[in-house]
Amino acid sequence: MDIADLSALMGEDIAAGNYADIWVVLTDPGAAPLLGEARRLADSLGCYVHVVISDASLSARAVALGADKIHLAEVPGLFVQTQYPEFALFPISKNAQAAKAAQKLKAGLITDARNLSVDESTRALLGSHPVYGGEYFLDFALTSPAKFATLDPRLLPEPYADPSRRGEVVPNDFIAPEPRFRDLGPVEYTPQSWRPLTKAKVIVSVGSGVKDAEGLSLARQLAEKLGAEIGGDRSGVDFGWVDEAHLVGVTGQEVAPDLYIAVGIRGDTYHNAAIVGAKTVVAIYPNPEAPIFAAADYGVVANPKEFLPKLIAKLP
Amino acid sequence: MIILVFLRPVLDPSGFTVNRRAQKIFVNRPSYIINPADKNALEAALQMAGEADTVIAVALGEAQAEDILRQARALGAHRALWVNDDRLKQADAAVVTTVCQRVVEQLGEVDLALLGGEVVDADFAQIGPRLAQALAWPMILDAHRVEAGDGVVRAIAPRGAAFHSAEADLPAVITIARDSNKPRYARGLDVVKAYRAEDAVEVWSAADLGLSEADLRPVTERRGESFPSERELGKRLEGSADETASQLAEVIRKS
Repeated sequence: MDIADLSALMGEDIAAGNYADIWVVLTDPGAAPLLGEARRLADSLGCYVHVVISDASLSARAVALGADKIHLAEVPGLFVQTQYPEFALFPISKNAQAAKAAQKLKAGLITDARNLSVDESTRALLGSHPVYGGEYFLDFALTSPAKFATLDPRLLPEPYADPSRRGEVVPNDFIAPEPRFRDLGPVEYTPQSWRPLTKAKVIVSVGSGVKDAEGLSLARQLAEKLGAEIGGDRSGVDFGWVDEAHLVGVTGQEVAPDLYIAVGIRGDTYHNAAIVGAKTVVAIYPNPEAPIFAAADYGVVANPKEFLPKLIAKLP
Repeated sequence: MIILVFLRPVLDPSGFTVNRRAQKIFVNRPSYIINPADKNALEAALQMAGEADTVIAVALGEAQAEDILRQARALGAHRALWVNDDRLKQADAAVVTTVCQRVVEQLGEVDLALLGGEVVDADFAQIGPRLAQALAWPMILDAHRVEAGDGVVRAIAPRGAAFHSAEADLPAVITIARDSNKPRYARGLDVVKAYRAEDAVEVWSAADLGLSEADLRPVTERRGESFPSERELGKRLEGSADETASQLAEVIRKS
């Protein structure tokens, strides 16, 4: 891209050279691991780490964890977009702020980014974004003059604190604009639970492997004995054994019961991605190669119609 | 009131399998559906719309976009706009935002732009906030129970662990929470109509929207997919059927 293109893209007042350094938006102490990530990238690039905080008491810790320059601003995300960062890291809780700032600077943004690195020759920011709950990742390279990423601090290592590090507080006269929406205060509200399985403690889920009405009836008996809700994968819905509202899957509902029993479910991606929150997963399926066994804590290779009567008999 | 709903086509997740060992995605049935949260956004729009209001569904991309727009018409959207241009294949969030912005400007008098709060197969959840920035409109995020009238929009939105009531002046961008409503199903007859009627979907090109090469140039390069390491297999219960049944009964008791 030549400079003429760039200024057309960016507006005339912004030149590529103005973008510099790594900026971190630190909205709460829990996001501190972002500093370790920023320090790592800054050390490889040889640039400064700027940190924007709204709470001055975080300054000393931010410096110990790797910040070179500290900026205080009421709404850190809005301040960053006035500063031409070459790289900007936000915690994922501030995805929307990051997206707005990125749009303002015509920047690329990777949300919930993993494996961040910088291509040192092109200065592109490389990273991956998980889809379907992390079943796979989309790999991106950001080539805009400013590059943004949001990170989940819980997935980053605790950064190394060096109390002898030095940093400076850089004053600014930034005044955050008033928010554009009005908060009318708290309300009593519970989202309607039209997804009936999201709160269930025990779920028995059925798929094509239960074969027929007899198999289904056995699965129902099991559910009744355990006081479980009945769910199903796409095949279970297609056979009419459960309705669409009870579909366990990315397009249906994601579940997190204490016990999830997959009966005759092959374990396709859309299904397995929706049960990662379950504490214990049990799978009963005839084919030992089925992907459900990779998602299960306990697997039984058996035909459900033959196995379920034996299991039901053993239960109190 | 004109309510615009932006729909993103996603590959039907029940039609493909991710194989971590082969580091590949196997597509068995390449059919496209409306991104689940966008379906909630369409539902919110349809519930809000009165007699005098117009719900316009917008999608961009290839044939799959046209397909989900016909689904949207079958569900009750009054108009469907398909922005179709080959160069949109590589569109990133910034480009998509620019296209949406132009659609809103071209239509004029749009009061609300609704989008789903999450997108299952792309990094496109950022388009809601980006669009609010591009249009300089106020935004309410992850909204439930959206109501609009007299120049304002009101919704219930999460704030920390609680829900608050929030209000903004129209026009506004609202992203809709996945749990906020139960999307309706289309009636068979309406589906047939939406697929038969040639004029069910209006087609706009990049030129119709006055989009330049620079507007369509992405700043995000897609470099394919990567895969997490293989899951460790769970414990396989072995032995006769009776023995495994006893072992499993024990597991169930403890869980």
